[in-house]
Amino acid sequence: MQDTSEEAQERRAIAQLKRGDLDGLATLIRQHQLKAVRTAYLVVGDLQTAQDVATEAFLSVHTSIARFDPKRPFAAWLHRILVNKAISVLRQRKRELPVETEALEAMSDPARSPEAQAVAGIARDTIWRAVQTLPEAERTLVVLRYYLDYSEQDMAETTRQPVGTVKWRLHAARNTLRAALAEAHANATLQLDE
Amino acid sequence: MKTMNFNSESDALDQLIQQALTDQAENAIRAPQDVLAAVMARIAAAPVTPAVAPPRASSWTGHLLVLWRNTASIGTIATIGAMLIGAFAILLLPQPGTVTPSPAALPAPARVFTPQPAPRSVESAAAPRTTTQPVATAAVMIVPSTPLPEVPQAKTTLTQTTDAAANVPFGATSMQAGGGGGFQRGIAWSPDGGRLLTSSPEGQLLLDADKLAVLRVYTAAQGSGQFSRDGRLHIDNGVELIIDPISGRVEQRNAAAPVNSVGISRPDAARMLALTATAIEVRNRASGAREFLIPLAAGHTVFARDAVALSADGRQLTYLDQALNRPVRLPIWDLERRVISRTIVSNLPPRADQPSLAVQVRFSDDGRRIALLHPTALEVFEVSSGRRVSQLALPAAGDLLGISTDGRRLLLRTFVGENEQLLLIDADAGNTRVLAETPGSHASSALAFSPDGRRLAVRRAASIELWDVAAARRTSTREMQPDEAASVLLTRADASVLTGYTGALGLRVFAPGEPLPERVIEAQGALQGFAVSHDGTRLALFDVDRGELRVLDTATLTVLHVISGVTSLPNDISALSPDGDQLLFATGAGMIQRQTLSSGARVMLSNTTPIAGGEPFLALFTVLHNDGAHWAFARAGVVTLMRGNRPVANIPADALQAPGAAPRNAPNDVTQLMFTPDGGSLLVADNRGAVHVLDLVNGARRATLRPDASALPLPATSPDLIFNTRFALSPDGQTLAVALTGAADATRGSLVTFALADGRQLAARTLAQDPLTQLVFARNGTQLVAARQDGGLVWIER
Repeated sequence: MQDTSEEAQERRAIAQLKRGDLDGLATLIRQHQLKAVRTAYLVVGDLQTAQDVATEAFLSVHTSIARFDPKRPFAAWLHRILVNKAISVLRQRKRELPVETEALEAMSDPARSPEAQAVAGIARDTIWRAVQTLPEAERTLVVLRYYLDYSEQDMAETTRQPVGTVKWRLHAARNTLRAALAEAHANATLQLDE
Repeated sequence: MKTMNFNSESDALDQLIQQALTDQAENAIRAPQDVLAAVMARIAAAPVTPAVAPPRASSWTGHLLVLWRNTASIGTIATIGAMLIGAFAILLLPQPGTVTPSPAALPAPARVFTPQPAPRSVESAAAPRTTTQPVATAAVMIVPSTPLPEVPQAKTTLTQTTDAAANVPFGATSMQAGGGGGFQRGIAWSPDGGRLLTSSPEGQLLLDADKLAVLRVYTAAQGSGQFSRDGRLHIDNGVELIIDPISGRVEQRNAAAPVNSVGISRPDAARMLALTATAIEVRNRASGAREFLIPLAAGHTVFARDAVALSADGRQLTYLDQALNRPVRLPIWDLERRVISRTIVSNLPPRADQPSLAVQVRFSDDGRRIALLHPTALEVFEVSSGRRVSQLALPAAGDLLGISTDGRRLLLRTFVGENEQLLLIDADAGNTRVLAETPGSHASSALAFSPDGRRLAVRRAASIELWDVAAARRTSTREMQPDEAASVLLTRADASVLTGYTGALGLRVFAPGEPLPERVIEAQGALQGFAVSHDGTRLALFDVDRGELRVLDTATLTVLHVISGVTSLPNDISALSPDGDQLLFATGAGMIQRQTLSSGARVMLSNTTPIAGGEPFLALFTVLHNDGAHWAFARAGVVTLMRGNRPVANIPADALQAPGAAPRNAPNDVTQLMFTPDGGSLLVADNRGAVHVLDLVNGARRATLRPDASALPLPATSPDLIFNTRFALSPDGQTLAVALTGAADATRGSLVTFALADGRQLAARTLAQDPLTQLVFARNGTQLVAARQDGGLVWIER
C-alpha cells in the first residue's frame, strides 16, 4: 500500500522531478508554497515581491533538483534558496519597505479584553514595524530564528556567515526590537491610562 | 494595570517576536498564493535547462512548442493561434520586465513604413531612397538618436568575492545564445582564448581555459557576462560591472533603465539590443540613450528574442520578417547610416498550409555571415552580398547554440530520443557531423567556440567541458558543485592573503593584485574554519563533511595531521601556534582542546562548560602567543588568559569599560583577540568599538584605543550601539587598524588607524556601505584588505 503521508509524497515528488516530471514540481509547490510565500513576505515586506521571490525559488528548485541530496530535508534546502533570493531582492532595492498597515488591522482577537487586545496588538504592531526597519541581514535572521525556528548553526549555514556574526546580528536586532517595544509600550500605557 | 517589563523578560520578548511574525504572515497571506501557476508559466516562458531532456522538437509543430515555451503569457498563445490562421507570422515575446515606451514621448519619425500589402511609406527627403526597402509586417520607424538623461556613474572598489548570497539558476539564460548576435550567454572566452567566464549559483567564475582551474569568483556579479576585446569582463546584473581580471578591481556603472536586454555588442559592450512590448530598441549601455528604435505595428506584438540579432560590432541589426505565402526575409539594418542596407530572402519556399516559420537568426562574430535556422533546415548567408553560402537539411529540429567567429562552423543541438546531440556544421563544405551525444540528463546549457574556432567550451549543469573541434574529442572536464557554500577568510601568513572557497573549488591562495593563485588546495569536502600559523608554514582546515581538522604544510600542500571528532563552529574553531605545532579547537563534545601535533599530546580544558552550537551569544576565540606558553580564548563576554595549562586571568568585558561609563542594555562582549608580535600584550576588541591592550602577566589593562567619534559618522548619543569590531596589526607592529561595523547605517564600514605605541588616532574614514567583517594587512604593510559581510574583499591603500 502506498504511503500517502506528506513526507512520502514529498519524497516521490522529488524523485519525479529528478526524472524531469513537472508533476513532481507541482506537488512540491503545493506542499511548500504557503510557508514559502509567508517567509519571503516577512523578509521582503510586501506580498507581490514575496510571490515573485517564491516563484524564483521554485524555479531554482526546478533547475537545481539534480544537485539536491534526497537524504537531506527538502524544506531546509528550499528555504535556503528562498532566503538567499529574498536577500538578493533586498540588496537590489536598497531601501526600506513600507509597512502594510491593512494587515495589521486584522490582528486583534475579539476574545480578549480590550486592554489586553490593545497591549498585545500594539506590541505585535510595533514589532512588525520595527522588524521592517531592521537592516536586511538582521531582518533575515529574525525571520529565520523566530518564524522558521532555525538554530544559530542553521542560520549561519543558510546565510553563509559565521555563527559569531549571526549571534551578534541577532543580538543587535533583539536590542532594536526591545527598545521599540519598550517605547511603544510606554506610550500605550499613557494612552490607556488617559 | 498590568505592565510588561520587556527589558528583563527576554523569553517574553522572544515569544512576542515569534507571535508578531506568525500573526503578520498568516494575516497577510491567508491562503496559498498562485505560485504554482506562476512557476509553470515561467518554465513555459523561459526554457530553463533542467537536468533532464527537454521535450523533443522534431517537426515544425515541435517548434511551435518551443515558441510556446518562449511565451511569457498564456495570452500569447492566442497570438500564435492567430498566426496559424494566417494573421501574421512574426512572433513577438513580451518578456518580464519589459518597458514600453510611450509613443507620444518619441520625437517625430524621420521616416515611417507600414505593413504590406498596403504600405503607407513616408520617407524623409534626407533619406537615401535607394538603400531603403519596405518592411513587410511591421510598421517601422527610424528615430534619430534621442539621448535619455545621463545616469550618474559610480565606481566601487569591489573586488574578488566568495559569498554565495543568491542562488541564480545558471541555465535560465543560457538557451538564448543566438539572440544577441555576439553576446555569448552562459559561457564566454577571453579574446586571447586563455580564459573562460561562466556562471554558477556562486556567481561568475573566471577559469584558466587550459586547466579549467577556477581563478576567481565574483559573486556580487550575478548575471550574464562577456569579455571585451581588451580582456575585461563585462557582467550585466542590473548594474554593469566591468572586472579587470588582472588587478581584480571592479568598476561599476549604473545601468540604463531596465529593458529586456537580448544582446550586447561585443567590442566594448557599448550597444544593447532590447525588446519592449512595442518596439525593438538599440541603446547605449553606459548612458541609456536610445540610439535606434523600430516600433512594431499594432497587432505585431510578438517577437521571439531569438528572432532578432545584433552584430558583434553593434553596427548591424536584423530580425525575422515572416508572413504566410512568402519566404522569410531578413532586413539588414545599418545602424550607422540608419537604413536597411539589404534584405536577405530565404531560399525555402513558402507553404500554403503553414507559415514558413524560421526560429533563429544570428550574426557571426565578424559580422560577415548570418545564420537562419528553420525547423528542419539551416541557411547561411553572406551579409555583404546576400549570397546564400549554404543550405542544409536537418535531421531534427534544433537550437542554434554557437557560431564560430568567421561563420564557417555552426553548432546545433537536437534531441534524438532521450539523448542530446551536438551537431557540428561546416557551412562551406555543406556537411554535418555529430560532435557529441550525451544523455539528456546531462544536456549542455551553454556553448561557446574559442576565438580561433578550434575549441569548444560546453557548460553543463554540473560540469564544464572542453572539446577539440577538429578531432570531435572531449579534452577535459571539470566537475562543479555550485550548490555548496563558499566562505572567505583572510589572515596573515608569509604576507599572503588567503581566500578560501569551499566545496569543489577548494582553497586558493592569492597575493594581492595577482590574478593567479599562488597555491591551490583542492577540497575533498566543504572547507571551513581556517587557521594559519604566524609564520605561514602551517594551515589548519576544517572539513565539515568529515568533522576533521587537517593541518597542512603550506609549502608542499601535504597533509601533516588529521584530527577527527571536531565540532562545527565556522571560522572561529581553531588556532595554530606560531610554530604550527599546537592547535586549539572545539571538539565534537564542545570542549576546548589543545593538541600538540608532533607528539599527539592532548590537553582538554575541563574547567569550562562545553560549547553548545545553539548557545546564545556565545563567542569563542582562540589565539596562541608567540612563545607558545600563553594562549587565550573568549566566550560569553569573558576573556580567559592562560599560561600553559593554568589560567592567568579571567577578564570580563564589563571590566574593560571606562570607569563611570553609563550602563547599557546590550551586554559588553569580545569580538577579537590577538597577541602583539613583541609578545608583551594581548589585544582585545570589544563590541563598543574599542581595542584594549592587556598585560600578559596579570591581564591588567594597559591602554584602550577608542575611535574618536567626531571623526566618524557615529551617532552622537546611542547608548545601545554595538559594533562588530575587527582589527589588524601592521607587519611592523606599529599600526593598529580597526574596522567598525555597527547596526546603524552610518557606522558601517568605518576604518580607524592608531599608533599602537602611544594610542594616537592616525586616520578615520568610511569605506563602504557594506559591513566589514575581517581585516588584515597585506604584504608590504601599505595595503589593508577588508572582507565585507557580503563576501567581497576590499583593498585599501593606507
